This record gives sequence, structure tokens and C-alpha cells, in this order.
Amino acid sequence: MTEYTKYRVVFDDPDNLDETTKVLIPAKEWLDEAMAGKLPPIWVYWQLQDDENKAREEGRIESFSHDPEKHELQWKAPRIGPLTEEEAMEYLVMKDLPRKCWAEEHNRPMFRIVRTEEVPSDRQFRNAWEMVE
Amino acid sequence: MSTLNVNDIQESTTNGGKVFFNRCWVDYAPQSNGINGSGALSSIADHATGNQTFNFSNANSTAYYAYGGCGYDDSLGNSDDGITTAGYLTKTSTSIRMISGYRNTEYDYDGFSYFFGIN
Repeated sequence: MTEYTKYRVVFDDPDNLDETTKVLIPAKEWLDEAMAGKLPPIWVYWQLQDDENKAREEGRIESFSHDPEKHELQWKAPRIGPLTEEEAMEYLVMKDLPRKCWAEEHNRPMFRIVRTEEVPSDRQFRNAWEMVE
Repeated sequence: MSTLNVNDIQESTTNGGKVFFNRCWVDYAPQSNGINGSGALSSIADHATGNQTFNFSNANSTAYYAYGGCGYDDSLGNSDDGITTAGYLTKTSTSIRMISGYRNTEYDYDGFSYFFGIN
């Protein structure tokens, strides 16, 4: 497989620290779009996540649909311009990682952006992986 | 948790008159932590053996639109070969977390995953 990115994100769930460390892998098409400047401002996604979380908390997720105007901002909001690969990874953290991983203070980091070669390819002990500082 | 089979997937290009607008294939190779092909994805979160979250590039209109199948295929291609069952653990409008239906020995096989959404 041709390697298309130098980076991965390792992270833990602050609410389930007994679980094995997770690995986030960016998709090539998305990364290409990010570096080509085709992404909307990150708040467009946060706004949608907030609305959905509120619906879930209020017990009305079964009938929930996104507000059409907010939903369309994903394509209609002004683009933020080209990102470097490193900036794209930071954007991805804020888009796809649980917000509590990066927006709340913890007694240790809950995620790290690492180089691809730092993630073991031998998965024999996958369920025992831990993030080290 | 829902359990699907390949027939559910193959019959899913329409569903009660609804048209899936976000149908795509994903090949995930756990040993290299690599995505060999994707569509409409921004990332995959590998939780552990046989358990992944697929994060979509954009939020869909509803939270409960997504279904998917998992399997393995030595040739890793865009076909239904190898897809048998899958279960999902959670769904949002931006992601689906799935667990392999019958094969957790990704140490021996490349992973093969698939999902789609409905409008």
C-alpha cells in the first residue's frame, strides 16, 4: 500500500480509560480535500454535533433531523483554504475525536498525533496497547 | 445491536423508496493501519481487534441512516465477496461504529468493511 500520510492519531477515551488505546487513520480523499482547501470552518461540524448531542440528551434522537440550513453549510460555507498535512491532522482531531479528548483538561494527554511508523504493525497484543507519554 | 447480512446490503440500493446517497466501500488493513480505498470517509478509528468507527466526511441528515457489513477478502476489492455479517455498536449522523460479525482474527486476514447511508 502506498503511504499517503505521515501521521496517525492515538487516543484514549477519558470515560473508559480501561479500554485499549485507539488509533485514528485519516482517509486519503479527505486529506486531499483538506490540503486543496475544500473544507468548511470547523464550527460548521461542531454546530451539527451540538444539535445532535442535545437531541440525544433530550431523548428525541429517534426523530431528529439536522436543521437544513446548518446541514447545507457543510458545502455552502466559505472554504478555509489549503491546509498543510499537519494542520489537516489538527483539524481532523477536532472533527472526529470525541470532544472530551481534546477540549477538556485531564491529568495526562488523551491524544497524540504520531508518525505512522510509531504505530506497531504487529497486532498480536492489540488489546493491550497503551498510549505512553 | 443489529446484525446484517450480505443480502441486506445488496438489496439496499433502495429501501422503501429511499435512495442511498452515500454508498461507499472501505478496505481497512489493520496490520498497516491503512485505508486502501474509501469514499465519503474522513477517518477510521481502530478501537481494537475487529472494532472500528467509520467517520464520514460530512454529517448526514439523520443519525439513524447507516447500515453496513464487514468481512474479509484476500483480494481486497470492491466486491461483496467475503462480506457476511456485521453488527453496529453506535450510530450518529457523522459516524458508525461497527464490530466484525464473524472474524476477529485480523492478524491473519486483511480487514474489509463497507457502509452506506440513506438520504
